[in-house]
Amino acid sequence: MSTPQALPPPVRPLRCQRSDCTLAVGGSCARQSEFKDPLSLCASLVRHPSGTPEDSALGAGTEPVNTALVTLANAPTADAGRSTAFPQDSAPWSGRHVLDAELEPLLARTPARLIALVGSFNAGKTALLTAFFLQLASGQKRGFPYRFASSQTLFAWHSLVEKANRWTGSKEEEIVTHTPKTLEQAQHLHLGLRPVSSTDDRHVDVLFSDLPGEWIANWVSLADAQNSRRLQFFARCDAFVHVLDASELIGERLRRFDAEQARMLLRLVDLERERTPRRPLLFLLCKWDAVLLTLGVPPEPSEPVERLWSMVAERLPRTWNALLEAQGLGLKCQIAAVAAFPHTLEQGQPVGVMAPFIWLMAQVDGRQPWKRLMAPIPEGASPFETLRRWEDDP
Amino acid sequence: MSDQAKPIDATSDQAQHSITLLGEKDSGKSTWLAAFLQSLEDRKAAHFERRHASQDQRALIKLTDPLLDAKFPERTQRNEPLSLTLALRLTGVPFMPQDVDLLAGDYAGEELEALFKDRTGTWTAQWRARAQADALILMLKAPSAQGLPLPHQWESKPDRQRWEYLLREQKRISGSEQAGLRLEGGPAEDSADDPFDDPSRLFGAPELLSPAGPPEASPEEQVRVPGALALVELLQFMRHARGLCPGERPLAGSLRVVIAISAWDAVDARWRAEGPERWLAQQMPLLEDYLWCNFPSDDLLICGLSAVGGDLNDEAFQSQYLSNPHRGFVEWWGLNQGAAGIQRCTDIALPLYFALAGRQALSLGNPIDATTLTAQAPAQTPSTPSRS
Repeated sequence: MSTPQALPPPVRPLRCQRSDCTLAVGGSCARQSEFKDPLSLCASLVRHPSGTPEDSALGAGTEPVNTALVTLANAPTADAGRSTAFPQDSAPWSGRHVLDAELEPLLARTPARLIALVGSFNAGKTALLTAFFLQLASGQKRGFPYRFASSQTLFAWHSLVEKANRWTGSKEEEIVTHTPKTLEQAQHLHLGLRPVSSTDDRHVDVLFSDLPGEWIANWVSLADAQNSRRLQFFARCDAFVHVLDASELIGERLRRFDAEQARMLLRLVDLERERTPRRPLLFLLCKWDAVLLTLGVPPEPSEPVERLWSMVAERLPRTWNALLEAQGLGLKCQIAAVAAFPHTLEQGQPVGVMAPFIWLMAQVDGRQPWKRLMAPIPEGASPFETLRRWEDDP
Repeated sequence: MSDQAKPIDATSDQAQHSITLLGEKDSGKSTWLAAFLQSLEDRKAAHFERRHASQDQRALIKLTDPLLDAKFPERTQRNEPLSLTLALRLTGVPFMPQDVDLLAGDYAGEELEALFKDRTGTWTAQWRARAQADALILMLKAPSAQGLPLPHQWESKPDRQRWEYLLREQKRISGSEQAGLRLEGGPAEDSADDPFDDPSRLFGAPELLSPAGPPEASPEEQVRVPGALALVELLQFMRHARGLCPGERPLAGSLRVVIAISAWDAVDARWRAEGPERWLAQQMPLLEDYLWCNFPSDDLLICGLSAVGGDLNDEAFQSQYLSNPHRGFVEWWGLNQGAAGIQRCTDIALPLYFALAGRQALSLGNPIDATTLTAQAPAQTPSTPSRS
């Protein structure tokens, strides 16, 4: 009797270390947008061949194990002062900013949208987000087609709002606390939104990165491994918002400002050269109230951008060229102006805050409806009969 | 706090239901509980009967005794959370008779603030047990939440006009234009045109599915700071403890929520005529959005609640209360015999009926003429705006 041939060891199906990953549910890696070949490059994937009698990890005829898949991803270091141990009576989440280390479960919970706000120090990134949250929370949606459904960073929003509420209107005071540059990891603010349409029952997670301007400046000047490490999440972003301080348009360092912004914009454009599809870019001029008397009322947000924003082109020629280059590369671009805090909260409302976010969400959460299937109806024929037979015909 | 909800005892027809009371400090939780217990003792809760007295009546006595002297109960202290177990029978049409063990608990409102700020050590086993309740009753105090003047109705204006308004304001401040500017089309500061003459301008067009949110703010109107963040966070924690994902609406009947706007008798009559749903949508839009997104409408009741019918700090009302302590009421916007409008029930146990039996409890309401409410307002009162 011949010895039965030993069967090759069974290969277990692909598993992911992340419990929330879409791999187990839909069969696709939640990080597939970051890699060309996620099944071989995603470090969260684990694939263990079962042991064989020869105690070899590999049996005859099995695929070689990619050691990169077996190696556990290095856990990112925790932020200083933030305990990784959870006491027994801890709340499910801290309510503070979401750090990079905590980002994955949210991003894996599709459809999550990550929007990166990029800009120099004091450009108005955090103030913009605070004003947006205040408008949403006070029901001043002005056409924003979503309702507030959840947030894992409610305390962070609360802190920003409280600080803004204490602002007395003095130019010497901070409206909101500057994002500290000493953070170990990027931090993000979270909103869960539900479309207002009664036929759309989704819950859309949206994360806004709240980065210190110094990180961006360092990355723009030297995009090495160290400066890029904290911005790794850029690979996963769904849109970019380039925030500029509009008061610099009438300042004394205009040329320097133009050069800085152009370099920043071109770095973002470079990120998109090898990508398809390319991510949308919102070019946002904050603090427009500071230049209102000089430059007047800004144009309506519209496309094509070059038709109406000549005032920007005149003052920021390099940046303007970079913007046109972005458009030429196929990026969807939009320009808008905002006055997030033209006065204190008691004195009046912001201007122009919601329109940019309406555009952003339309880009990152745009849904193309299916085309209606229609069979050609012969002249004089009954549409009903034609369609009925069309369905039955092979 | 109350024990976790226990499964239905198959050996008897008895079901144990736990109901959690939530609310910030001074939101009226203790007052309503006390008034309900008093109505139970006086047999004014029309559909509840007590099967037998609880073994430990200390909490009940502590709550109800002040009302006997026409005084508000003491606020629940942080180290003395209240826990009540009541053996009741639910009776009478439209309810199916059933024995109910009601577990109700109260807690100090300061705990909510502590939970919001300090996430370690505050989400205790008691809170996790409260999260498993069969129903939540969330108390909001109207006067503290109201705060701001009633907004004017503004026609929605594009951002361009708001920029122009801001530009004119800056020119005025810099001295290059005259004072007294206003955005075109909006009400002037010294206008004699009272928007309350026409509430449809004040409250906007009616909506079928959802109450109208706040009207668009005028450019010079104060930006509202949301005040319900701690409550929303608590609700998020509770849903998380029940295994609900954000945005996931619970199965019908598995978790009923009552939003009771307390001290409803003190609310401006014009808001009372519009109803508590519209009040919530306009005064606390973030909370209203959150409820709409996360709870099915059939299991959600938004009502105005007056536990005692007035202010027990007012000596004149105290005398009235002593002569008739059952002056409380519950109001909500709803349908009754095909007609939509403000419904009122003088049985302040109605939130509990809803928590146990759902929307059939709302048939206990009687329609009231909202013009009788607006007649109390200082300005002229038109007819009540209709809702589709």
